[in-house]
Amino acid sequence: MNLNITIDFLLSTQIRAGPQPQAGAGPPAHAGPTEFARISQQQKVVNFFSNTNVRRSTMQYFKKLKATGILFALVMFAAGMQTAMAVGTASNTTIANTATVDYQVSGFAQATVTSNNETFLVDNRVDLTVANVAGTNVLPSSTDQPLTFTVTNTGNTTQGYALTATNGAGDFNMGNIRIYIDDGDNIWEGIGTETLYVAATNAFDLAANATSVNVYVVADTPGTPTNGQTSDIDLLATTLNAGTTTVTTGLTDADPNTAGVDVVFGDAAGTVDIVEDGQHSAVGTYTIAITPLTLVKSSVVAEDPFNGTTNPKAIPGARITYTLLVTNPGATDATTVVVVDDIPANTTYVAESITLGGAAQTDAEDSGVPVDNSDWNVTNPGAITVNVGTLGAAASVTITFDVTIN
Amino acid sequence: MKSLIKISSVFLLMLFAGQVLAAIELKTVAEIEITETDEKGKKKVKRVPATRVVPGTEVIYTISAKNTGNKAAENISVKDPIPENMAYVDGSAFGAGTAITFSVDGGKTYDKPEKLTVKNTTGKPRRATADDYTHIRWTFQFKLKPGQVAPVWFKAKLK
Repeated sequence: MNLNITIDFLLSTQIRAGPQPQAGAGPPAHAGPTEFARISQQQKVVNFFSNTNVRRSTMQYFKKLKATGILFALVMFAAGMQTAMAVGTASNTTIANTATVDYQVSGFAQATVTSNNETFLVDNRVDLTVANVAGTNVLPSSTDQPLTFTVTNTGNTTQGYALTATNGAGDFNMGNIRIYIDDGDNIWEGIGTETLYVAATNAFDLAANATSVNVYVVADTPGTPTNGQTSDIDLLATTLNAGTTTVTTGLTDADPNTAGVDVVFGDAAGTVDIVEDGQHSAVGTYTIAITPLTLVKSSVVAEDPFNGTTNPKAIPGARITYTLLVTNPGATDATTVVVVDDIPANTTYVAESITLGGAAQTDAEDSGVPVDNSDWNVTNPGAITVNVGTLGAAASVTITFDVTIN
Repeated sequence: MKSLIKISSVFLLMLFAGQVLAAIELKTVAEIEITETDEKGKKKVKRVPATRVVPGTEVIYTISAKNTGNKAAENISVKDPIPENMAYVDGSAFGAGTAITFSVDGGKTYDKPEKLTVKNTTGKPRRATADDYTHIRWTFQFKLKPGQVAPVWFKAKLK
């Protein structure tokens, strides 16, 4: 005797085929001691109909992850604030030092003597930090997916920056990679709001003292990758002379110093650049994250011919109510969710007993005249079919129907 | 101009203190240490004038007192402010035969590091750290003979 449940939804479906241990197993959470006998009866019914299958169905994907994008932008904003740190004395600052000496000769105090004023000029230490704020979970075939980075001037001089983003390691490559500069609020608001970076130009000048800006790598996900696969993108920033597209050149240790402001590279090595090269880079990761819907099935004996609704037993003629709880644990809407459940052998469907979210549904196939979204024995012979439609992020819906034991 | 002031101050002290030909000349030099690799691949630390200094660089200040007079100078105390934008490197002050004390109040008072306190943000006193020092004082335990040069050192890091 099989009780087959099918659930179709527009995600790369991950409901596993095979018996579902949750299907009616165990007492309801609210069960008190007085309900013990009834639960024992339920358990028998459950065991009787325990071979529940969930069939895998249509694989499609849906597109935008707006809510997720905003979430990451907020995370990024908070992290951006944390990067601020003391950076250092501004270049071209003169550091002066004068010593004094007091002394006596033959017991007589002498006037204080002052030394020369020893000065030097603070040079330009070019230092920058590119950091990825967080990875981004994406769905296949999704466009304009942002990956948030920060670019921070950790040097002591105002500098400009050129940016490049390239596919790195991973299971697949993102397509149509672009770079957007934040419009000032450090929140990703979409390609219509942020500023598209034009290659080989100066993206922005950043003042010294750990000034940072959010930079978004934006790319499209191909349709091929599967759940859990990743794609790395490296963002590389190159230091430019402020207000220009001229790449800043630094002195090497061997170069003679000048009396003016010398340029010294003090940056660390990034993911695709070396130490002290005036560049820094970081990697961000796109991860295909398809959250499968969950389906929990339970049943109760509603009544039997002898006891009525008082402690009903699962005997022939008894009415069993099945409850299907469909949950979308993901962060995005699941669309065109369809739940199909075969009526178990040795039972008979109770006409007009389907409910969806507490609302009674008709058994007729109403697609032509959409009175409701459910039918019995029409779309799928011998089964109920319930068109749930869109199931929002973190939302769930309850479906019930009744059968009688033959 | 500076040398003029120095010369005139020397003359002044000669005239008013009545100690003709007794004077100390004080010279401050800022240097940095660089590591050079010679032809044999041997690394050598070399001191060069502080012309390449970026935040984080340690600068070595050498203050040399020279007795240019013809009489010994005594009770010598050399004072040097920690330059603006720089922080004293803990434990770096040195001077042979000198007692070294520090100031955390702009040079008004000096004491040993373990006796110096500053107020924290809540107004409670806490032990001063190298970052809190404003001045260093070297008190010479010896007399500086005519012609003798006595250098003292300290390191400070550019903030």
